[in-house]
Amino acid sequence: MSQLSRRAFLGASITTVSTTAFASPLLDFLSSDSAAAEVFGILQTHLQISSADRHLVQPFLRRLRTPGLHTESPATFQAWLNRAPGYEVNLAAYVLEEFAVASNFLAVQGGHESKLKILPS
Amino acid sequence: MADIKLPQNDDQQKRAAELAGAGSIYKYNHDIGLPLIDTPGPEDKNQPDWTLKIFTKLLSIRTNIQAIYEKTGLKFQEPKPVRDIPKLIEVLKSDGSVSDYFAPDLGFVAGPDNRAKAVSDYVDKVFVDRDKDNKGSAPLPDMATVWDSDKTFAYNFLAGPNPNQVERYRLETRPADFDITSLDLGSLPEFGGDSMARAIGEGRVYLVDRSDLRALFGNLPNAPAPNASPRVFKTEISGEWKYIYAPYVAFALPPGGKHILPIAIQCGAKAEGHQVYTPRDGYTWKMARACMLAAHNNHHEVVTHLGLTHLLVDPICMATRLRLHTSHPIYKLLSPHFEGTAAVNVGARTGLILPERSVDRLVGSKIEMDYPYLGGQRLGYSFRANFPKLRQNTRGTDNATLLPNYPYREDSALIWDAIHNWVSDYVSIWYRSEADIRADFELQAWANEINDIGKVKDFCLTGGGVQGRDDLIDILTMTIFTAGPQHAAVNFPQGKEMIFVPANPLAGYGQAPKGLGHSEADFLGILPPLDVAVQTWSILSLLAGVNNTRLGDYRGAFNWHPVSEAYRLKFRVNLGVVEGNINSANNYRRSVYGLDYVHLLPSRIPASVNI
Ligand SMILES: [Fe+2]
Repeated sequence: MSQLSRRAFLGASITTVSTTAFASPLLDFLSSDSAAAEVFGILQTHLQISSADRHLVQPFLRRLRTPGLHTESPATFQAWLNRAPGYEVNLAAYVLEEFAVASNFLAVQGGHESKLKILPS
Repeated sequence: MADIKLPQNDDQQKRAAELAGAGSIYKYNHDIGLPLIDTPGPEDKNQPDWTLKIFTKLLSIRTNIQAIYEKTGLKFQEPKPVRDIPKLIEVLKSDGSVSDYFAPDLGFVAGPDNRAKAVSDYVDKVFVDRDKDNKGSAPLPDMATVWDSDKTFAYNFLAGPNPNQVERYRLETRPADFDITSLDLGSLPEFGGDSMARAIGEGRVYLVDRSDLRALFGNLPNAPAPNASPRVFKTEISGEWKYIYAPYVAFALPPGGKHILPIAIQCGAKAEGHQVYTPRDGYTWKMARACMLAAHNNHHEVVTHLGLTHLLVDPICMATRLRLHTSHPIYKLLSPHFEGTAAVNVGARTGLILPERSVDRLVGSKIEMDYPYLGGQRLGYSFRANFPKLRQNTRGTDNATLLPNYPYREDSALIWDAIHNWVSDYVSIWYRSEADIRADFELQAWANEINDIGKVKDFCLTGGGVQGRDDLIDILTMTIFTAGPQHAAVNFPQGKEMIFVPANPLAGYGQAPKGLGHSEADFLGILPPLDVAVQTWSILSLLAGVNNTRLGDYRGAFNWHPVSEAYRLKFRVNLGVVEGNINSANNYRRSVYGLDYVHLLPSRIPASVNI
């Protein structure tokens, strides 16, 4: 994913963020089409996920919206949305780390499974 | 799949040729003085569910480590572990070091900040990422609230990480250097009117003898003289001095009591100036307790956990791969009990138990000292003498009236019986007569390989091989018990009882007390520094945080064979009954100890040693 599109990703969220109620705008953003496009871009760029697996993005985003199923705190999200230093790299890496535990990517990578899928939560 | 046969009923040439293939894959490695699998074969690969659990746990561990960096003011040598895309991609696309990425060694913290000023520092500076409901990546274990009582200290020896070390204190066999016969027992709380003569005579006195750690002292080129006092070894990596103790502790059951209590600790040899302390001795007593636990936990990691589960199962796995054809019924039974063992052991040998790496930083002894000691303990360990009920009988700890509320003993007996029943059923399918056993030349070679080449003492009875169905059932029960329940009992307390350092230090950082009148500062001075406490939390969280595979679940291995599968299901039902019994027992244990014992709940016991 290009630097520009990562900025666009963050930009989209920043336009809706409120410093006092960050969770809701974030959830709104993770439900949006632009989030889906950007998340898929991250996965495609770094993990070479093919277009055929694009349908996995929506269930993955649903997981990111579910409390208890992701590993980052709201406070950290807020820091990213406020353009904390390193937020772009952090956000892309966050998506990759979450995808690794939300999907069977590691099993596919290890040759145990062939078809990429989002794991039941 | 259905083509499971004893070798005497099969194409022997074909089997021999295929077994020879295994011989070209599996080689022994003797780097640490024990026969171990050199390189895991295709059957030893970890399954993807294991990898996912490791990844998920490490992700959570990093969250707390980051919080420690951000909120405690502790200044570690190494920078805070952060997200890093190129390194992450490397981890995701290969088997690159996932733990180095998420939870690397943080180095030490220099200066006085590294010493706890109060016990609360071990809470506030280690268990940082948790909310007011104790939720988060670092919840505080129950142990942190009850650790300081003598009752909890005793619980550690009955239901903690090293739970099969207690033995009865008998006048004829007691250690010559640990004489407590003249102790004024009646003056101790809860023992009013009691006496040592009466308590010993009635069989109510027990001990744990950790003078065996003296064997460590001679294993360094620059070891202090045998009679030096104190014996001190500097750990170069932390700039702190670690101490090794060789203490004794005695416990007694008060008349009519529900549980034993500690009554005496002697932190080393009398000739080195060590005296007997009792619970009347204030902070000196607390220091003595910490010395005892440090020695006991040092022994736990090196001997009970690593040596007598991981490294005992390894040569049995090796012989199974080398001597039993994959279509052998015993191969079929045992293989799931070795899932991930060779892989985790090779990983430990090449990454975890190296000088100045993880384990070396946590326990009192250094690796150079550990290997000869570990080797001696593992090679001297009798496979048969340690069937749990026999071991407890030999040690005089099998009497529920004289030693009540011993959770490990109670639960391990239930699990042993369930495994024994399952194995008996299974063996009866494949071996219709004693002659079938005698004619099974693969099985005979397997047992001899383990006994003679794998150096598992007393794996075979005198005369060698497997001498009948009952013999085979015993061997298989102990193998499965060691790979599953025994490892669970000594591995998972790492994340519950041991993770809070004051409750269970793995090393001492001050001299054992001499004389009396010590202070809280003296006590804190003997506990590990905060950098070690953080590293302990990180490593033990991972080792106890990955619970993969389940006792009684064979990943569908018996689906093809209805009789085997029916017996397996019966085993699962029996384990379910055991689960209920342990849960009921825990309701009572909670009233006795304020803690329950969960490590031998069947729903928590993996089938194999894989972490
Ligand atoms: Fe383990």
